[in-house]
Amino acid sequence: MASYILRRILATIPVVLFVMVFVFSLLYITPGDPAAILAGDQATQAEIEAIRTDLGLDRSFPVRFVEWSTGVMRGDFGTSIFTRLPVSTMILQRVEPTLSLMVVTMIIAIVVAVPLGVLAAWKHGSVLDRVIMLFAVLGFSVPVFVIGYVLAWTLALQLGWLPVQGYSPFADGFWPWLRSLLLPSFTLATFYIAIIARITRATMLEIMQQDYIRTARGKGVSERSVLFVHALRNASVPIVTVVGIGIALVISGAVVIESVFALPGLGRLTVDSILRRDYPVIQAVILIFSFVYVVINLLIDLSYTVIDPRIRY
Amino acid sequence: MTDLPRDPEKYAAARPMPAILAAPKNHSRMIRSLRRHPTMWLGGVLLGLVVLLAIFAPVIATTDPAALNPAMRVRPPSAAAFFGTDMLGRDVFSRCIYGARVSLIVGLGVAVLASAIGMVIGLVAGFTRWADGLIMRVMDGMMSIPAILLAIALMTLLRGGSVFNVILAITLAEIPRVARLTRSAVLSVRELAYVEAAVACGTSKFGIIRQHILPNTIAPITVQATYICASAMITEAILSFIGAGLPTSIPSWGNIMAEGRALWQVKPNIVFFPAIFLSLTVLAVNLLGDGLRDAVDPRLAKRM
Amino acid sequence: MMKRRTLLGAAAATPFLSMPALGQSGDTKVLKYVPASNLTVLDPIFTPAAVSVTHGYCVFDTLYGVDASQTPQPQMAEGHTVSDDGLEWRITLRDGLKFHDGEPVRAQDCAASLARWAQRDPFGQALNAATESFGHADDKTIVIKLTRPFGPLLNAIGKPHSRPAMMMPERLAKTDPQTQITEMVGSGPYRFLADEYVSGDRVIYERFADYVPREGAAEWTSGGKQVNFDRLEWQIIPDAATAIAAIQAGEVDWLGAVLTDLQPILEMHPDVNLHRTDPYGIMHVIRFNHLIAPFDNVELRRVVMQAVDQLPFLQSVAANEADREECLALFPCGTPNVEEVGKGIIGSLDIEAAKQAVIDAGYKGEPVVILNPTDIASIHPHGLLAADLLGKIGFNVDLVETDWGTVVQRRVSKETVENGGWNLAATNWPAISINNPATNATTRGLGDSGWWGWYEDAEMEQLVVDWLAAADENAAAELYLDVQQRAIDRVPTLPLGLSYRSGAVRADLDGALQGSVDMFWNIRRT
Repeated sequence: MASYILRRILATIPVVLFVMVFVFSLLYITPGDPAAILAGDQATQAEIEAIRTDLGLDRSFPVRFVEWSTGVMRGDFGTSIFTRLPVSTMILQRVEPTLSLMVVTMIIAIVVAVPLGVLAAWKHGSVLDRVIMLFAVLGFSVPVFVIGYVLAWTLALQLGWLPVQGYSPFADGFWPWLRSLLLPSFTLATFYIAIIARITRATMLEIMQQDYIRTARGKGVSERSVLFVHALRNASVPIVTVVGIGIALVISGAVVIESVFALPGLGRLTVDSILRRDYPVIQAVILIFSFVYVVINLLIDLSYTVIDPRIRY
Repeated sequence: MTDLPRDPEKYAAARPMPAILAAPKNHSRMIRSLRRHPTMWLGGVLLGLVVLLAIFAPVIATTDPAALNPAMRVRPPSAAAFFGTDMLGRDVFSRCIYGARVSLIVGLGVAVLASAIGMVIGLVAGFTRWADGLIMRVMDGMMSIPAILLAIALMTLLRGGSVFNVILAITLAEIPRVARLTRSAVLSVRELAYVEAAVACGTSKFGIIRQHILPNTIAPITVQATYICASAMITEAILSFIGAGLPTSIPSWGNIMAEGRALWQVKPNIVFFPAIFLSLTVLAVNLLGDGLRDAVDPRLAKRM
Repeated sequence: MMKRRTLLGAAAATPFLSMPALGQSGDTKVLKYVPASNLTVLDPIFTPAAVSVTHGYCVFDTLYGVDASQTPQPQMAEGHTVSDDGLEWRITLRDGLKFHDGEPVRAQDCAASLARWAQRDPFGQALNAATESFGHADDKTIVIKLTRPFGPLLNAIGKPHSRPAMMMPERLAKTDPQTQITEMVGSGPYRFLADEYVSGDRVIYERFADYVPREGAAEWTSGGKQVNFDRLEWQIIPDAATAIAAIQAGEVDWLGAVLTDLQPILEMHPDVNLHRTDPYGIMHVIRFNHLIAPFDNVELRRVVMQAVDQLPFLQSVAANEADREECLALFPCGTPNVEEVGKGIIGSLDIEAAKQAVIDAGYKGEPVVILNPTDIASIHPHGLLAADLLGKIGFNVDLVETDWGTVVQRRVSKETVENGGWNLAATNWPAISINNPATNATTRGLGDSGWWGWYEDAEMEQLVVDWLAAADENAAAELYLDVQQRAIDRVPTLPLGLSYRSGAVRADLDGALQGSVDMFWNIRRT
């Protein structure tokens, strides 16, 4: 087990290295000049050149890459071209909203989707099943920003239950924090509800045909107990897999949701930075995203051994 | 949001048994099972309608979808403009009809390209032990970069603009998943007794791929492709939302919605009509994919 | 069982829903503002961006401000004297001025600030060219020594937009003009709270307790800057639809900009009023690249100008008639001494006539590359309309649509279009930032060292020099008119008219000022 974990951790190193080189090269060849954006509409070429020199953007690819990667090794991600703030500061300011959005979204998604999936599997073939599955398909057929506007309009503007936008830090209290997150999280969750409900249903269906479920039923175990104790427990491996992938996907979803609901998260920071070519910030954020992705995948693999003792490494 | 979870390999790894892909089937069985899946037919018919819409766009559309008329901006739906007009006075109905072309081309283009390239990479990785580690690390790396961010970066790199660039950007983000799926299919099939027997008999690598591997991997890849197709159309909309999508002179459902989104409180028609088209198409593709999956492999059906 | 659960649910929901909405405005001590765009650069001398100017007027103060008629009025200054030969200006500071770090404002600080500003700002550069030194006589007296008379000196150091000459402590003002200043220490009415600043999300200020406003009413950037709030909170809301919803719900007090098509819903809203801060508006232009064919040919530039009907261009960015104004000139109509010298010229040709004129002017079918940013809503329609128009009158148009970051990079290229160059690019300028011959970059003839497009015109430059040194107002006005004539004759830039932008303010707020940018003094909650 320990050697497996060690091997897995070591295996992440080439992945992260690849991402480092890939992202840096990608940005290097991407058109767009932060110095020209920074200098503004009135700027002359001489001014842009001066800014470029001042920022060190005129240096060669290897020089910049070595400087950046040695910095990263020391935990120094550099300074934002635009705000001149340390990239680490900018990222730390943004971690909490994105993390909160991820957690609340996944909780909502699981709490809603797993019972729906179980219900659909239990009432397999019924109208209820069909309706649930239809909604599941619709859930990822509508772009998330459309869902967001509609929910914001009804729940926040017309009913006044929730704030329209903005983020209230956890430090300011649990309820304000949760209130500020419910709308964006629910919007984002629609997509995961769709996926997780489908997977849950499919897995439950397969498991319910297994011998031990028939045995349990034959022994007269109550239907609820069959569903939730025997079947769902065995269905948890694929569900956890999807939840894990889902967390990685929330990062992508965050990009849109954070813009729609004005949450000061990492997704918005990334898009802003890409559009204005703030290289140090983009590099750092993508590196962190991929690191998180790798870690989550590791944790998921390890969690299988906890959920299903038959799986060993 | 940009892509559906499709990682049967991981799923397979977690199960006590390796993922077993059904042996090739004969055609009469396939047709029989096709008949047993009415939702697939519904999906097929819906998709067929959209394809017809796209093909006959010049006939159906009432005006040039790119014709500007600022004096007629943001008009509500009327007899002259069925779905109203957008901020530049362009006819939303005609844009939606022509948008079918772009959205379908993007969806299908990404599905075909990503499947083909991903399959080749997956086959190479599955068959060449020395390259396997390298290829899969690169794929891991690409997968670990959130797809939407990769696509944004690529769109700016490709200088935005064309349908081809959008397809390329989304495709690149999708390839690793297909490659992984193919590789895992190859690995599981490679160990099967009849394949080992073929190897022992001295059948060439290409022979093995053609006779044993491809028939077994095409099925899951095809199913996978339908999901990629659906998610590519959504991703295209999101790229437009972020400002890294197609220019509005090339109408797609995604950029019609993205451009009209700010006005949705006052002019919901600009957002909702393309949203309906997009949803129905994605729904159709999904239904088709589900049906296909059930048809080609009932076991796969339960797992996806 | 069912019943109990329902009750529990209701009980849990009640306190939750009865909580006051998050960030509800209406607080008498806090003003919540949503700027029109993200604030990325804090140094208002480094960048001319409007949002940085808005931020700048909170943190910094200027020696001179302007009133509604654009006349310079002393702000930090007590007054000034000019020597008889016009070569030495002495500006005295008023008493009690303090920087946010507690240090008094000295003439040394102001001289250093002026020196840095004069290297960065175009109007400042014109002043710099006529200046021997920015110095001081004592702590209270700034001394500007000139090498030749510079009539509009106060207009220059009191300019209200695009890099106003904002006063900083000497230690900051000594920063290289090509390097951003990030430490925000000014002497303005609001203090920047660096600890609470989250770039791209929120900018927080508190009232500067030691700020001493002038006597008298506030007007534009002059007069008594009375602050009636303890805190000023900027929140950046990137999505226009969300920003509207936020002010409808009362979560914010003031939106810097409202999309033209969304104005009607706010107009109807009982608790929100539209507010037009800048009455001079925005001038929309399309810039020609003068270095390469075909628009190095003045005849062709003229034909295009004659073929332009400004109305559709204006309609594409301003839905209501009251929010747009055709302006047949290269200087912003409505600012002092500007005349519509393009009457009878701009828009005088119909499509067919223009088609012929294009051929007559010697167009050889060279491709015309139009750069068009897809992510800038105030520019994007103009690229499309220009492509449409030019196509109709016979040009071989290549519309290049990319994001802003790529546009600005390609725009500085002086190459031919085959090598990544360009021919046309639309943009816009706040009218008051181009309201005289020296500041209007769209008509200056500096060539290589000037604004992109690199229009070179020695005669124009001589006129600008003469205007700057003009003996009196009449002579200046006459020279200004010559400049306007020259511009319409040579067509350095294609004028598309003026549009006016509105923001929105909650109805319980009173006293929002007009000005170059949104300003947070005078306004109070009733």
